[in-house]
Amino acid sequence: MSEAKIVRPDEREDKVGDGREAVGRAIRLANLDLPEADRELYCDARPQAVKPYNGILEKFANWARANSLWILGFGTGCGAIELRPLMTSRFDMYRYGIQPRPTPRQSGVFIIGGYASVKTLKRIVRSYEQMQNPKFVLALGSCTINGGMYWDSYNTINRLDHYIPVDVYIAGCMPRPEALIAGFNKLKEIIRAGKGEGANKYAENFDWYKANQKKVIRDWNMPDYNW
Amino acid sequence: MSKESGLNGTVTLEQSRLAGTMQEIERRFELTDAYAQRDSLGFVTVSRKDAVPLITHMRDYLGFTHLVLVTAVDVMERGILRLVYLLHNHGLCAGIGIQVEIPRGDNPVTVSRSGDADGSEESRAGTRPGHDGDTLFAPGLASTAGVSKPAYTEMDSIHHLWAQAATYQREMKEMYGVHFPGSPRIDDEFALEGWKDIPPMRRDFDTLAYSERTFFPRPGRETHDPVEYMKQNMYPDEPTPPSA
Amino acid sequence: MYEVDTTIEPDIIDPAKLRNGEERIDLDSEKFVKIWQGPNHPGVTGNMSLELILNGDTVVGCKTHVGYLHRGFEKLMERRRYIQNFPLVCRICVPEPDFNEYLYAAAVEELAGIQIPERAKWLRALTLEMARLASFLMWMGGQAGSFGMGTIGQWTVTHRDYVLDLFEELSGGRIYHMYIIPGGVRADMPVGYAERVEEVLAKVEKLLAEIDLIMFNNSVFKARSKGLGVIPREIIDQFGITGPNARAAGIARDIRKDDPYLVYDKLDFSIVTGEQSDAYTRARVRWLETQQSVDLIRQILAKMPKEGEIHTMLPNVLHWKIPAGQTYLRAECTRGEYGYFVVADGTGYPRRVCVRGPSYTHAVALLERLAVGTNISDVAGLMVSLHTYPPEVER
Repeated sequence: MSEAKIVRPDEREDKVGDGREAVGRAIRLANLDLPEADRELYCDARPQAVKPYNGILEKFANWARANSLWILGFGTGCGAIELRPLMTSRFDMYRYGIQPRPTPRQSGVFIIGGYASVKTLKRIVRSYEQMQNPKFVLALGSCTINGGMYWDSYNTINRLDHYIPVDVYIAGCMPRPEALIAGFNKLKEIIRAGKGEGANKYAENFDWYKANQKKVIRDWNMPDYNW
Repeated sequence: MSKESGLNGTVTLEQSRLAGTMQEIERRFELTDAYAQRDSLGFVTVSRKDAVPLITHMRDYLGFTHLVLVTAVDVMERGILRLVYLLHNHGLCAGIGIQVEIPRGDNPVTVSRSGDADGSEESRAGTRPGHDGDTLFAPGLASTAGVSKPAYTEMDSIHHLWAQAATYQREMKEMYGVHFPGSPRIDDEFALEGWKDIPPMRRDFDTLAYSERTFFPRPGRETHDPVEYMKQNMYPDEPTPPSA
Repeated sequence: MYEVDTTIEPDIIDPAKLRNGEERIDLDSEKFVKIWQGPNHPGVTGNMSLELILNGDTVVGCKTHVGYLHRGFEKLMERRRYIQNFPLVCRICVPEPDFNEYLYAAAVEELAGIQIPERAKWLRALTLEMARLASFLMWMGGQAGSFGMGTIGQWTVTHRDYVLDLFEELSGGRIYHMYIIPGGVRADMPVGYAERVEEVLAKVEKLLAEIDLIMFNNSVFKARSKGLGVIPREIIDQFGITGPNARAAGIARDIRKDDPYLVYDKLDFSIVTGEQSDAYTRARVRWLETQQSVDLIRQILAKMPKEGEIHTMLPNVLHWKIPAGQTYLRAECTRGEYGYFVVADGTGYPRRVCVRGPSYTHAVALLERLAVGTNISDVAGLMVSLHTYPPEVER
């Protein structure tokens, strides 16, 4: 195996200023204390807001995005039990262009099924940040709205939209597969109208979201932005 | 006997199918208390030093080979934690709950890990030196060798009797703060990650206050507590009655 | 093009050397790889992580991590009154929530000294058997899917949906029924319900026959599952293994027969056992138990009293105080022995409710033992064949 040389951002020939300090000014990045050898494994970037295309191109792109929503197959809570009937032949979501993907890199919609414990929230944040733009979040159940039945629990969060941006809430405990399909239709309307701006909202309010996440997730052993 | 009979304690231990077992136990051990909940379930209370010998004797000689659960009941009023070991005898189809009262402990103490035998257990799972069986990027997460997670009280371990007991004991350490020396993976986190507060199942931990402090409650939740409602409507000027 | 260097020896270690200590697992030597089969993985049942150490393709070390679904049920139950807890308990175990409802209700009734009417017992048994049916159907889809046969999952989840439709008719909810409450059941069977149940049962029986053909007679399934995850008989009591995992090893224990609850002493069925507990036999035992559930539902519908009360009058539930005491109740759910240990202290709130799910032992201690020595591609199949379900481990 040939020697792979890892090039650090400030050693690149085409570097644009010293990015590290500028970024470190806003929030304290997790990799600043690590030894040099491990620091490359982390990134020190921030999410960027993406400007939409112009006019008809954006309309076309929105139509295409709305009709092929690929979901991340991560059943984060109770709601995952209603994803099985949704995926199989009775309620068949595949005919709507929705298919489950195992990795966040290939998916566009993250369905948060129900409550999120603190341990799962860390993985939700990590998976959400690894998804590519544009990305949308569908929050299932009443637990994402106000904590639901576990509102006084020491391990479940009460409001999901303080940690990641949410596009559509689907109320219920559990919502039926038909309710999920209705939620998807609503999401499609939102996308086609050009209002599916969750990813940009995340990028613009990154510090606020990150502060909320760090308040709850105590052992932060991952990069601040998992891109 | 149908479970819905609802007969609460009207069967005595001598009349139940546990009679033979109770005779054997009472010959050898001091029991502080013994009663039958129903024909197929009895509870005995032993002192702390007799607990593990009794459990071992029941498993080896009296046929109680199935460990159903190990749990604790926090009796804060008396300052004790009541550990309950439920054993089941498949032949008799009956169970006995062995209750042990240990002091609850008010202050966490750090227990030295030098006496623990879990080093050899871990060789199976493998560790990198300095990374105590944890994720590659988290050198600071795991409990460092030599010093364990602080515990409030201690009890002898039964992990050598049943392999599954280690899991129960790990949960008890996390939820109640009871240390079991020698139990494998006793300091590994079981259900909580990065928990810094007191063990949550203890009675003095207020989960509602914690939740309101840490997570962001959505405003607009009203209470429908009937005591509150009655107080507001019928006795607004009187002090709160003692809890219903 | 790439050139393959044939002079490099593969670093596969003789497992005997690992067992007798000649070789240690040292992650710095380049013979081992540590991978994380984590919560977001199609090959784990529910949200659980396995920290696996591999040597080549074989797993040599396994550590489980649970806690992704911990909601603190037991603490929450201490904060709510007895009657407020019954919507909470069904959410502990998602595929078959009725066992939780039944055990909690029965424990509270035993402590409070309440008798329930006869018809309520039959309705409870009917609900429990339907829950078993639904859970087994979903499991079969999962087991086939873990070996790559996706069609069966489509069929079984659809048929499970027909059973969920029946539940919705009976109780109003598809997944969480909240139907069995202290004192009896919440509502009576609708008119014509028995005929609709019979229609669904006929469909399920046809499906089971087809599954027998394409799953159990499939050479790929047989090759992959025979000999996988063998549970030797000696460790069954040491690990507290119950349910089909133990019955497949030849140990004939079934709580419905040994310690009958509800109306099981009036029903006619036998305990299903196997010869050796490997993945194939466990699947076969569960398939037979699914058929047994179908038969039991028919018996229950035939023998049920035609009329009767379904609920005993409870005292004012908002001020209901249960005398001090403690009890432990068990039921045979699809996975094994499900138990509730309830401690009451004379006030209106329970002092302690401890839920003992069968996966507590199967998913942690047993899995860590069985995973060692399996091929990495079979670990998912092994987990599903033990029918583990993480939410009942960490509640």
